[in-house]
Amino acid sequence: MKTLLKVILILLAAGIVAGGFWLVVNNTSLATAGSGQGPGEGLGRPNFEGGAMPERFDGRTPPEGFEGQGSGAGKGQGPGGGEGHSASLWRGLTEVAGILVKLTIVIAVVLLIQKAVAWISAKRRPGRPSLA
Amino acid sequence: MSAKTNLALDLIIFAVFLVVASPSLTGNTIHEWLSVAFAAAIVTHLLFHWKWLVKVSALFFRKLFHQSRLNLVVDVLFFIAMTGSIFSGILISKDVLATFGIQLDGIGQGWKLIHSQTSDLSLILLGVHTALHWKWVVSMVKRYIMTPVRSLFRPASSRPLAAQTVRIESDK
Repeated sequence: MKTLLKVILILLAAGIVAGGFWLVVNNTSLATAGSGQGPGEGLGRPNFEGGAMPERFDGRTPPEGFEGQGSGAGKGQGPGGGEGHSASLWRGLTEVAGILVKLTIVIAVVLLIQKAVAWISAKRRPGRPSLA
Repeated sequence: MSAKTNLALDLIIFAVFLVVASPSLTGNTIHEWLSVAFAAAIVTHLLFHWKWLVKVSALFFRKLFHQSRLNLVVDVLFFIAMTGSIFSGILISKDVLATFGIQLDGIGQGWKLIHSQTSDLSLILLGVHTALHWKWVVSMVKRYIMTPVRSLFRPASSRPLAAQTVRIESDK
């Protein structure tokens, strides 16, 4: 029973946060952001949904690596971004490696900051005089 | 709840996060359903640390060690980012909502942007969260993973012998 109450509280907190996001999106320009654009185009990502070739290729054969079935492999692909993803082991593993690199950098930066703060605190503490 | 169980859950959550954050690895359908399972795992993680959450929240504005305050602030921001990512993901989902026969109209591209931005933010906050608990992570991994694995590869001669009683008889 206690666990159920805790779960309800957590979901309530999540609901409040979700409601906040809903209000923000619906009351700002985000609600109509990119309404004239295809998915991902506003973020510089090509849209290959439904196998349609982008017009920029003008009927020519696209270079290798461009797939017609929703690859969405544009630049700056975030962890959750893009739609119409088809599974690709190589691309997926590359994405995982990229995420691990980003995580490592963030962790290293935070640990360095912690060490720097600890070093500065140790320097600032005056040495206690010994009692003769 | 033992430290071993805590470590196991955290490692599973981390592995699932890596997979969920790489939709190219799994495809859209698995990405969406795994994210739903991931949300349940986050709730479980919060339940495991409920006492700490309540204690630090209650003492936040009183005399409290700064590290705990920083941890709570980072955790709250992480919760907000993850909730935003999961909520926006559900709104733009194709498979999860379709399974329940729900079709949302009028979901603008703004939600895709929110999903992308909150996912990126979650990644950064996960790094900060992990760094703030780095000592715990390292000590638990050493204790429960590296030491048992190392003991498997230790040669038999270097393993400690069982204690045996030795009887010494003096010649009189």
